[in-house]
Amino acid sequence: MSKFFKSRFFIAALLCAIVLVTVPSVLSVMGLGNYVRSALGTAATPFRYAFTEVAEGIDGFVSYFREFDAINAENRILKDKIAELESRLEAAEATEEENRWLYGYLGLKREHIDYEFEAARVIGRESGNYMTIFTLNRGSMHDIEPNMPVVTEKGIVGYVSEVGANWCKVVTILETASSVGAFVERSGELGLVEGIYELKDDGICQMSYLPPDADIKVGDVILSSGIGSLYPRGLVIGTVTELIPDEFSRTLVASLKSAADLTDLRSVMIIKSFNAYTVSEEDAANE
Amino acid sequence: MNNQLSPISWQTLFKKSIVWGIWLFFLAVFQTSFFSVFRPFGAVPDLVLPAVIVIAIYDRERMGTIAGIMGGYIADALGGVGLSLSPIVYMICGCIIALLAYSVLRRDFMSWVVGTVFSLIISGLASVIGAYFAAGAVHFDISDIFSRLLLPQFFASLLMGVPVYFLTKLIWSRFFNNREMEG
Repeated sequence: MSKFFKSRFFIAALLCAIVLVTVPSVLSVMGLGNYVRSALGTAATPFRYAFTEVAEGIDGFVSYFREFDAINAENRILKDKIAELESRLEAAEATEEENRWLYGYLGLKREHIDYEFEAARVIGRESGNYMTIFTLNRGSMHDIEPNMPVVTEKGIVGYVSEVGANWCKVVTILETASSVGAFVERSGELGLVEGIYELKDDGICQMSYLPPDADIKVGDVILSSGIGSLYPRGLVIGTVTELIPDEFSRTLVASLKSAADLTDLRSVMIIKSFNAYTVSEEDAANE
Repeated sequence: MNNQLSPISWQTLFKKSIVWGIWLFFLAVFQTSFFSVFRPFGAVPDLVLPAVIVIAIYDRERMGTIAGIMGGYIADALGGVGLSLSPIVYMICGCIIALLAYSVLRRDFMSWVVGTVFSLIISGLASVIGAYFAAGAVHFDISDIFSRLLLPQFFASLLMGVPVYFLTKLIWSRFFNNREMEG
């Protein structure tokens, strides 16, 4: 072994190696270029470019699997966020709807400052396809009592017929058991609005006991009179759609389309108290 | 033990130098491009030194010495900065492992593993010296260099050196095996 280290070949190689270490280092310190290094670098560039491209391509492919768990976890988080945002959106839409609804009642409340409202949700419907009896989520726990009027911002719905601890049932004005003292808003003609079994499926009730020459026409708005009734005066019942003279009783019957849309009822207000309308002697004389 | 130096002609030595020079250049390019993206154990593996060890084991001390000088210079030229002792280090590793392969060790894979481990340790010491000059005495932290530079590079080089061993041996078998004793 020592023979090799003493050989001219090894000494020449060692000198060559020392030169190759020192010369580039000195040139580098002096800030001068090294032509051999530069040539090697130039020759290597296209190969380096190709290898780097390949490596980055493989890295991109491998990173898909390497980061799969992270992407999966991120996906789960994003799905949760979407679900949360959808939930918030639904809540916001519900709030917006409630705001619109309450805004409608605000007008009613301004007109009738004596009204004490209890907001309620429809939680059940009965009577076949066209629901004319509703169950609400308010009961005796909320001071709800039978015969309290139930309204929407558009008009009368009906009255509370049965009360449980946290629920109550509402009979609508379309039911045959319902009758409301009413008058024509435009002319003041008095009558009685009743439910008709054959018509309730169409959302129609009738105003009867109108004199044959009553001042009433199609399109007139009918309001509750408040006389001897469960309902306060001035609530909208509906709009006249048809006038039918009754040959036998010599009176006029008006068909009404209820103002409140009973087919898509979700929220209502129960009027817990109001100042009952009393007929003065002067009014009685006029009527 | 065989203390005879390899009887090889200058002409053959020159031809072999060209072939191994191209191969070492190719490995250095691959090392500094492909493995700058893929970093096994977080380090760029040294492919040139394991190849020099293969050449030294199978092509004996003269070619091992020349391959060490060429490999060190090419590795420095393409990947080194500032002061680098690679030509001397690789040359010493190449000739020592070649001499050991013909005296103590055998010409096989295990000898290559032993030679590569030894060479990587020597190379690591040279890297520490290079890092000392690059960082300066004030910022020099041997434990940090050991954990972040030397160990990852050692294992990455040993691991990636295995395919280099077989490829280099394949080249040797195809081109030089039958002419090994020529000259």
